[in-house]
Amino acid sequence: MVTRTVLAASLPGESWPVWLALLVPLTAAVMLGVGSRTRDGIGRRAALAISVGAATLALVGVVGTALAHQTVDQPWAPALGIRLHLALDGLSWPPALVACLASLAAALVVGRDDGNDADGNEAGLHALHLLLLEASLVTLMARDVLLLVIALAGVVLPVWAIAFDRSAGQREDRRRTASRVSGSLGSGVVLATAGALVLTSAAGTSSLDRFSAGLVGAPRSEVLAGTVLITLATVLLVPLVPGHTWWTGLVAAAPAATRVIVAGGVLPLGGYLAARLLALPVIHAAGVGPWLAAVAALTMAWAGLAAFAQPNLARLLALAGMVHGAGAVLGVAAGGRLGVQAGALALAVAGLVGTTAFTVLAALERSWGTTRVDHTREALRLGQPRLGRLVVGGLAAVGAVPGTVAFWPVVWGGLALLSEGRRAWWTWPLGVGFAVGLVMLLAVAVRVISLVWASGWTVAMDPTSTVELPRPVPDASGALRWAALLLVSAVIVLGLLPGPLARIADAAATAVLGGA
Amino acid sequence: MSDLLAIGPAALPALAAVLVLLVDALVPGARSRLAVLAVAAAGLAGGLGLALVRTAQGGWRQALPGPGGVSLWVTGPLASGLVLVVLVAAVLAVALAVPERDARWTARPGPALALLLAVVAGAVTAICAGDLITLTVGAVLTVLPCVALVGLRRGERALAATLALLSTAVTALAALVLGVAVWYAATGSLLLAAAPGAEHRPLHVLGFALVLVGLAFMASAVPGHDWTSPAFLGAPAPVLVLLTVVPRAAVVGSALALLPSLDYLGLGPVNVIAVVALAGLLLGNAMALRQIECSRLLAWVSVAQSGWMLLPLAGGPLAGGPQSAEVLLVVTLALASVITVLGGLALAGEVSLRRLTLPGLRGLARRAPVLGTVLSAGALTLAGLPPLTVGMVAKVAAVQPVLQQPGRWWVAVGAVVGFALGVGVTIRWLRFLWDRPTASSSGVEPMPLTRPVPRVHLVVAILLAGLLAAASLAPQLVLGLVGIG
Repeated sequence: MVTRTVLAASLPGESWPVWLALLVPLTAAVMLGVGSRTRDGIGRRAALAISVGAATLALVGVVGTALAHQTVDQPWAPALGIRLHLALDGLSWPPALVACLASLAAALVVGRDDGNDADGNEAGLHALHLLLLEASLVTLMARDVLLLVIALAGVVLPVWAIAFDRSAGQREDRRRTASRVSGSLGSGVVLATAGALVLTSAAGTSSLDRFSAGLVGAPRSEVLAGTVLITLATVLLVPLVPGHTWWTGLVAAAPAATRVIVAGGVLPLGGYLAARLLALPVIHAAGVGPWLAAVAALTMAWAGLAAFAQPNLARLLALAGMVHGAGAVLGVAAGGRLGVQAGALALAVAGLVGTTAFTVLAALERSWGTTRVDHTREALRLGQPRLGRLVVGGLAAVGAVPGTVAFWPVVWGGLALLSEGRRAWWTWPLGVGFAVGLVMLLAVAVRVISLVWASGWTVAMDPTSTVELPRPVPDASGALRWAALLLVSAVIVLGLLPGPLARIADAAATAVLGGA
Repeated sequence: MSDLLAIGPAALPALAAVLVLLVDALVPGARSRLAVLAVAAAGLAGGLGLALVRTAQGGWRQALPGPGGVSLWVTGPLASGLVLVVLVAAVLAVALAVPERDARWTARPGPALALLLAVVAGAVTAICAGDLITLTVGAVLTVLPCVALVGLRRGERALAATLALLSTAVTALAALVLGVAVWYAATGSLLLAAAPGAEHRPLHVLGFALVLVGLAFMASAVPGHDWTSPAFLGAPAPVLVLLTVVPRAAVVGSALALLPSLDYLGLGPVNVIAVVALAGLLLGNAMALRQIECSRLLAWVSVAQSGWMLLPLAGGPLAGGPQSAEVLLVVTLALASVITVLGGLALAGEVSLRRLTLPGLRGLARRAPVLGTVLSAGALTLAGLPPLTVGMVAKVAAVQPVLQQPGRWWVAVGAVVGFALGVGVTIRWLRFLWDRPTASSSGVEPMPLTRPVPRVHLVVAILLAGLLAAASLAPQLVLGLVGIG
């Protein structure tokens, strides 16, 4: 009877976009994972085709789900009251779309040199990336709090596996990186699960549709305990200081493609968790918001300052990503409709900017063979003009330069902090942290553009010189160039369209706070 | 309604145990092995068939009428599910015994099979007991054959394991019997359904605590966990499957029958369960983090899982039964898959199970992808880490009833720490399995697989991993099969 009910409810019917978005990446991941372990393995082109195909179909599924407002709602673990309730709303569809784009970009970035060990092939890495996409999409689609945290836990194993098996360095280095990643992400997930359990117990339901109403009148101590746990999880998952070491360590060692999918598909999940739960008025009233906002502002200032002196572009972009992520959390923690709008917009934008920046970095790394800027090389504007333009565009977005999409969340965030009724004493130091972080990001972008685009050795050197110059490196080309170009174009075009962004932000706030 | 068929799942294995001994004594030579295997399989199949029918029927059944019209044998939907778990575990144990190279299983498997069937009969009796005497008989019948099964193996380590098991067993059974006596003194009745007199509350709680200590031993729960590590080091894979699953199912079944009669005492007595559960999952996981030998690691993981299994019962006398059974089922599937793979590897490497170490299994997932994947699936389920979501569903199930009681934050905090430690244990395990198959920094070479892994082990392992995967996609599909949830 139970089996028949579940099977009947599982038939695709009109909800096919939801199933397309969820089943295709999972199936492709299993195919690639199993195939990579067979004797002959899966060829490079076949693995790429499967991975790109799966990410594209997932993208189609996400768009279809969002446009047609498709929903799946059926019992999943009835004994626990968990339902397989999946849908996309104003808050979740932008990061879901970005996750699919990140997966697509990551598939194109995967290369022979990306930590593919002797006995494996690229199919295994594609499989792990698709598992990350799967976990990300289920987390974003879940309309049940417990299902959300269970799906969120799905990111731990693939990220650990990549850090352990595919990252750079000796065995001990890889082990250390993997331990740090699994420890931090695992702790974040455990805290999120515990917080979700406490809050669902207080609310009497795990359904997001009834969650806010259920928490009204719940014991304050339980709401506070759940809020503190979710806040701690947010610090580890976004990440904010001091829970950020796993992210900077992973970025320094992980394959270029993994940086792309983690930046676009995994990091936004921490901010999403905060926006989905901590922004609820009942939870916000618990009073933890100012503390989280303070940590976020501190993160913005610290990461911005640390990024300025960073010679490794991968680490630099990791720190810049922390500034963007912390900006999203700051908006959410500030509370109110304007704060949630700013936070939600920053959440999606941080993912898109992270995806773009790391895709461009992958193209740069493929040309240079390193992510460090402190080596002798030709100026990009002279030797690799196509790559140079991509780098300038990507860094402009990272620096939240006006005219790029990253500029608007900054405006919104500033307005949220300065808005009427929000002039509590604690907003001023937060404003300082916010401003320092953003100014430093702009400075970082300008510095790096001048270092890699404008400076370097020139071909006009003395032809009689005996100094051996590095061999010329190729300009960006192929699918990776087009992917990077598409993403850079997107961050610029969206930056010129504040109207649609305003509608996205408003829809997100409505999804969290209701129409009021 | 009295239903004698309800006792079939215990009676048929018991009858088969006697027949196995008779056949073993009367049938000479090589034919004896096949004959006893056939009789044992028939006994288990009969019991399994009846249990499946009972599970499909649902509802409550009673048998063996006692004084005052109260039945001594009661099976509800949950008890039927637990009986099914016991019988399936026994079938798995018999299947794994077929390729076992130990002479006790291959040359003359009669005594071992008879003991195995006795354990099954005892566990089913304990699960369905309607009174304390039947429960005690069931417990004794479960425990003592387990001791004998571990002792069947020759060698110093087996002897040490048997002695450890026996000494703890005797102490625990003594506590159980004393608890039954105190319970009787407090309530004036041995029936589990009898309402006790309110004036003897402290005595009633004492009786309950003593019974719990007796049962804690069977479930490897702290403080009755002492036997686990030596027994796991001394037992072959089929016995390990039995030891990890059957006594636990008996304990959950007994606890479900005992707790409702404590309802009038409020949350006091279940605080004892909360402490026992937390101690188990914290100590078990903390110790498992340090183990190198697979058997010891498995033993401590098993202690931790007992804690998870008991945790839902800390939600109150009338809460947490289905959740506890759910955790038991998931843990059973996961531990059975791990033991099946380790048993197969021991046979393929021509070593005993206790000689398997984590450094020896380095790179297993690359050398033997199927076995490595199944082992990883089992480990992930035990930790509660997706993509096998069923493990995490079980953890949520374990904590949910506790959180529904006010003032139980300390249990939740302990559970969170235990969860984090469990994730650490599994990640450490996976690190060895998915590493490159080269010598470790200390020079330990990966264990060579000199022979192919027995087909039975491969089939059972894949089947169990498939069940875990199915349960992860749709938990209700699998849990509903055994009437749980």
